[in-house]
Amino acid sequence: MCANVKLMRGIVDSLPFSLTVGTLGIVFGATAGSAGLGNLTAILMSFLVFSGSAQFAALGLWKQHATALLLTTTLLSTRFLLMSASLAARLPRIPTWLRTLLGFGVTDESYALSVTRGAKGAQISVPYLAGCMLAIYVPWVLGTGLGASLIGPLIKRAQIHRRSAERRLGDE
Amino acid sequence: MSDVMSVVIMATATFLLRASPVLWIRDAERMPRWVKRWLEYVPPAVLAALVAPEILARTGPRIPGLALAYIACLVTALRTRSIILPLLAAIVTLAIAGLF
Repeated sequence: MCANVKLMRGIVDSLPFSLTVGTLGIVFGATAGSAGLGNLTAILMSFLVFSGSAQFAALGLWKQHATALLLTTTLLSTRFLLMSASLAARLPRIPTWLRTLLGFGVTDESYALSVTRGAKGAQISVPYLAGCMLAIYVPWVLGTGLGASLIGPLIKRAQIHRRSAERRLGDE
Repeated sequence: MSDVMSVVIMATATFLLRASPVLWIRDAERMPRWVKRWLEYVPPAVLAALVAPEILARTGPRIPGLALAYIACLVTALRTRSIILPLLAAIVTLAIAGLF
């Protein structure tokens, strides 16, 4: 099978996760504003951090000590250390830039998909893994952007409307 | 502490943990046998550790039908080996259970 086919295969296999991760991204983007993150900060975070658990935890810790943020992120990311090590044992020899990208892209979903495919302990297909990662990363960032720029403000406006309607009812 | 700085700190922390194993272990062939064998047990262990607390912590009187949804999900997964079908089975089961 050629690389493009495997990449497509990884993307197609990940589509169910793209849907859930995209939705989660929208939720993250929409709630980030009320935690004190600017739109651009929220999007930048999804773009660079790319970890749902760490990012949602950060919302509760925002504007507090950076040490708490660092500690929480580190603790929540330790599981990736094991996942990445088990991936490393099954990767073929590939250049450093590709390793860096694959390392950045390790998530619960892409890890689960790529290690359960094929025989136990068999070598992992790099294009397939890359396809899984892309299909998770893109919806996560896009979802955050959509949530922060559109869904979040919509919810806020609806809340303000409701509050003012309640106030008007109270006056009468 | 600026917002961007905080994001950079988070990104660095998570990236170092994710990328260092794949960057360090460059030649899987030269890895000691026992390490390789040990790492073969990581996938089931990690996946179980991710899923089990979720099921145990949330299944209870607060969300009735969730246990049923998990069972439907598991059975469909074992039968079909698909990803989307168990998800759908779980959602449908939960929706039906919510009607009662």
